[in-house]
Amino acid sequence: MTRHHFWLWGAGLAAFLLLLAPPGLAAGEPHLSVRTGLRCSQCHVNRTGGGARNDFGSMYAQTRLSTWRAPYQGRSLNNFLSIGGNLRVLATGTPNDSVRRSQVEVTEASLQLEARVVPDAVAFYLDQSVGPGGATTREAFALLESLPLDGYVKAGKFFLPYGFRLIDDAEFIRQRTGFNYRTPDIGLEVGIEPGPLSIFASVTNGTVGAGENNSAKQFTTSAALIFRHWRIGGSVSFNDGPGSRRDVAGGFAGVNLGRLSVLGELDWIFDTPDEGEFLDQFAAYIEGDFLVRPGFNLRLTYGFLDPNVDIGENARVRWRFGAEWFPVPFLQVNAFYTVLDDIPQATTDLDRLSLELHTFF
Amino acid sequence: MRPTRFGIALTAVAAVAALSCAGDGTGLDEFGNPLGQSPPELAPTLSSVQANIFSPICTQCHTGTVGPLGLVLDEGVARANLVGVASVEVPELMRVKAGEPDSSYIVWKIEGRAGIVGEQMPLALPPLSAEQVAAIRGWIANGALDD
Repeated sequence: MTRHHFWLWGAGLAAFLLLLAPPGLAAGEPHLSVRTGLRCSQCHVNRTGGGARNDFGSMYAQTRLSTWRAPYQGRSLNNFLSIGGNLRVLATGTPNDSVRRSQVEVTEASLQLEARVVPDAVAFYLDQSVGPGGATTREAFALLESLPLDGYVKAGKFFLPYGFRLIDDAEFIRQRTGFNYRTPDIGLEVGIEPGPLSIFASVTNGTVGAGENNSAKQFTTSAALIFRHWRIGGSVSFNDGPGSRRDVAGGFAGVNLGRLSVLGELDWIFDTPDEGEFLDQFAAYIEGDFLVRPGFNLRLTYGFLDPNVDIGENARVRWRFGAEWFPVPFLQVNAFYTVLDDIPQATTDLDRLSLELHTFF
Repeated sequence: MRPTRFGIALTAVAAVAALSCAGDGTGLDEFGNPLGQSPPELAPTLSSVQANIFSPICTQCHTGTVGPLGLVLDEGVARANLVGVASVEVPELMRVKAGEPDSSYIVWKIEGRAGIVGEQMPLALPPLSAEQVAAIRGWIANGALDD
């Protein structure tokens, strides 16, 4: 892909979103946020999304997400402690002859604990992965809230505020930018959310949660305008590490047209090693979600990756389509087919069918 | 018939997608790297493994400052991030245990063995060839030296 394709992509996505947006209007999992027009912080303890749901998020999951309702179950043990959890069991099958196989695996087992030390002001939050493999801390931070401009301060280990927080870490925009559920970092984050505006900024070690290895820090910031029917924003990150510097910049947007919601993100990734060649990558993502009926959603996603802009004809495309169903509260069933369109020389067909069972509270 | 906003949007998506299909791979190897940039001969040494496997393939993700699970395989730092370092996914195994390829988690991951957490590496790319796996195994069996 050549550089003019960047502008083509940017212009295409912008035009697409403008076409979708009704005149005078603007628009867990990001598509839920886009569909409802709510911020991530409306439903999650972590103000930038992901992990444990707060009381509103738990109520929403039980009353609005599922096909059938059940008596409400609160997540609070008392007025001090609340808990949460996620368990994902994934069955996958590769239908091609070269690597025909199937497997069932636990892809996530995590528990969250929230202690409201001072109600509406100070909280302790822990998100611990207990499987598969060894126990690891996904997030652990102190949260100071109720600051001016609906602001907050977070200190500890957390997911960095960049782009849409997709649950699918394998998607190009999350895999290649390095902002995903496998890359929390340690540091400080501040945010304000006055009116329709959300601004987050973090300063972290830039070591993906490992010990600090130099005096430089990673700076990551994200800003978005969020309205009932549309949203638009951008993110940037600078990380000067030992032996290499990485700069990432991107834009994201979403629109809600009733049953149909669409979101997209574009990212540019620049790696500058102290020695060796500069690497310039580009990734893009578009997702469409159609709510067939309450609790049943159809999804089509399109991912694009140019793993080295200076090399031609090396782009990869990833399609994913399927359905997700919330039959009862706290239960989600997904069935998706993933198609990876690679260069012809790629010898392995990596298409796959997946069925996931996700329980949460 | 007057086009609807939904129809126009779908057309726009289709147009963008059609303009951005996968590359045709002209002049590239199976991992998307240019042909003709011949690395040194594949051998069970760190320099060869770095030039033939880590740099052209693994560092498509495990690079710079944000390597997944803290694993960076750039030249000059790969060995320090591998040898004697506990795996994040299966902490009872080292990423590389010098002299013992079958006890090294990196071998489990590139061979796609039962017992790994997550997917076989390299992610979303063709699996390493038997020769490439053998080179990594040989480097580890020879002591995982900085050679």
